[in-house]
Amino acid sequence: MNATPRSRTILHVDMDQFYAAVEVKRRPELKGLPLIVGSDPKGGRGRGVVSTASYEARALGVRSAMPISTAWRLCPRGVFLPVDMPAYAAESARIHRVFEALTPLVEPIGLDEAFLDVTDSALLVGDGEACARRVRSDILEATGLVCSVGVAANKFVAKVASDLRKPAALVVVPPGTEREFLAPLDVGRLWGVGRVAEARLKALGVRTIGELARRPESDLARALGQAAGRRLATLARGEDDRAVVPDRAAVSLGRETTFETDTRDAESLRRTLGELAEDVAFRLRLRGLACATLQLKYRFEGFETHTRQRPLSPASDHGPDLFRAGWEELRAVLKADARRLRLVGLSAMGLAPGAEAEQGELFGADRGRLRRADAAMDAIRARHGEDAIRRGGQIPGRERPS
Amino acid sequence: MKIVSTKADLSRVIALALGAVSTKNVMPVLTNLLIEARDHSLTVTGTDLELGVRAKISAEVVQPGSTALPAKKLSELVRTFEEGDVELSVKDGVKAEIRSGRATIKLTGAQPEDYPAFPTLRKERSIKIPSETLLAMIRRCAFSVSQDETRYILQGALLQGDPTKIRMVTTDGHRLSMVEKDATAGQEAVSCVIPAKALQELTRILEPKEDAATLYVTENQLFVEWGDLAIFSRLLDGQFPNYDQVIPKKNEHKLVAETAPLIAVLNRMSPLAADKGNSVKFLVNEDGLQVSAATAEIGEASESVDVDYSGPSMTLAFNARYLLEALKALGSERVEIRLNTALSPALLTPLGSDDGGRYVIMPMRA
Repeated sequence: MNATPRSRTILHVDMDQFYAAVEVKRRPELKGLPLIVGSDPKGGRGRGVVSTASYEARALGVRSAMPISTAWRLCPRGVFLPVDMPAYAAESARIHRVFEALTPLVEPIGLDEAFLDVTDSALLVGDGEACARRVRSDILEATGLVCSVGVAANKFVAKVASDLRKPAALVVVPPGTEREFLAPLDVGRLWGVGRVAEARLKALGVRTIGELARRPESDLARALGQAAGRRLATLARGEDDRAVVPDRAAVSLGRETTFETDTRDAESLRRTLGELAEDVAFRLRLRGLACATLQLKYRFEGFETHTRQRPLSPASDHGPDLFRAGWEELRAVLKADARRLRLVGLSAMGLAPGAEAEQGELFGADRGRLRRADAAMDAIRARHGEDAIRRGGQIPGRERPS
Repeated sequence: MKIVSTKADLSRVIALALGAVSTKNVMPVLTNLLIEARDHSLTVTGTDLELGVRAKISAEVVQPGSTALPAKKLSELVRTFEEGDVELSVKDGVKAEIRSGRATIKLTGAQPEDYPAFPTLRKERSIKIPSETLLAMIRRCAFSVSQDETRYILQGALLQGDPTKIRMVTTDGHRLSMVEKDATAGQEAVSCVIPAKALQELTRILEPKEDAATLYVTENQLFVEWGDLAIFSRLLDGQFPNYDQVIPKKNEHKLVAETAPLIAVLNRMSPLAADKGNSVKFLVNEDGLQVSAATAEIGEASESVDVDYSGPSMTLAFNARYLLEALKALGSERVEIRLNTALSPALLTPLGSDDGGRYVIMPMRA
């Protein structure tokens, strides 16, 4: 029936009431209030729609894509907020780092959803459920936000599963049980079944996915057309062989190094981290960006992989700043865990526009001298390649304290 | 409910509470003012949940009760009334009828029960300060609050009280303003960071008087009582930078100038300083001070200023706006600018009349 050589494990991760949750995180005083993120309600005369409604607002009948004026009427004590895309994108970037720490096979759908193929993570992290738990807790830790996760052998079933018991749900559909899992669910949950198709199916007496699966494909083809009929029949059996297609658009600038032999030697870790920091800083400067949050990635012997983040204030494109932040984190890791490290990586996240003009900072180092040194190194690297020049000793932690 | 008040009283109390009503992003019920009548007084409350203002006036209460009426409409209407008595009666909590002169106005409001309660605070730590002193402190340092949203904690003013002093500090990371006043006797130790919006609201609402305002500080809220007015604000949560560490202690080179002429010079240089982060150049030596500015392909300007200076010759650059704002905030006839090097912070202090203001400005790299 299925030509796939081995079964896959797919997670569908869906952030719960994402926009609303980000708003609550920024403004805790809104917690528990009905929140409506969308266009300007203009005192009930606004013409736009609701983007996201919190569960409190949904309880009052507010739905996504509903006219904002209707929401205004339904929800006199609702809090109406404009859509703040940059803020959601920043959280989204953090969430994607969590995904990428688990598997490179991540297919984001918008800012708040993604498919993860964790088939190969199973050996290292555990089965699908273990991966799902890891994703949930890592996202919670990195962002304070809650998600729902569906675990299944394919994308379609995983997506249905994540949606089934929101919020904060974890629904696992073991391989082989897809059909019985789907059977009692409404046909409206099938991909591609819109209002029209749903009405046609209901006219045929098909209300649940199970009923649909029992119908001969020819019945469905007559009602919905050949292609749609076949596709729905396949989905209704719980089959879906579409692959998770990673999105290569960069959400961060990162570099990592795998050691030739696993190590906990402080000198060699410092040196490596210093090089990574310089590389990342160089890339930042090339793009006129600065790093506002630095992420340290580390993999223990045995391949267990983690990340830690540290905000940089002010945002910086200067290697030693990135090194210092990364080294603080790495030192904490070494202190807390006796294992040797197989890999370390640094990524610049929360990218900010590059360092501003020439104004001196009160609470910081004398940046001018450092900036001139950076510029000189960049010029050499641009002409002779990235390895043409390194900072002396590449142990920036020993620089004069500033 | 039913009350009789005057146009003057009503419009004043409405204007006070209106400032806390946000024009956007609020709950529908918060577009209203909460109006409560009881015990010979009328209380009007506006809030956006982060900040709230409650103002009370005495009024003839015929029948106690409450309602919530559309803030903007109410304010617009009352302003147009003729002087004299205004009668407000409300049925079923939401149906208001307002009579002024021969006009009758009917307004539909919201249920007062839907209006969020004004927070009642455990009045733990407090400081008392004459409203005129508080206003002067805000005026002397609110301008250097950070506008940078990523520097959350700098978007407010640090208020610190100890048994002898009250201090307010703001900084945007490039400059710092500090005002210090003597504490009133029995002063408790407090420390909190007040959001810029609350400072702005305080300057709008308080009048400069000797009457003391009481500031209650809890873990996350500030509550100010001044006569019949009450204001609450959320506090900023976080660690304010160690400001004392950037206030120069050893700047030895003193430059003394008349404030007004220096402001005039900086104003003249500013148009040509616009490009490079508002940078103006200071060339200072025993001959005096030469201020200059230049914008490539547009033009340049320079002017000499009479100063007392006995240190080494130095060339510095400053953001002209930072200097201007600090000089204006000093409010003194003369200013002492203490310098160390061209790239270390300059300290501005008032000479003559000292109102407690200290200003630190980080130079630019020329």
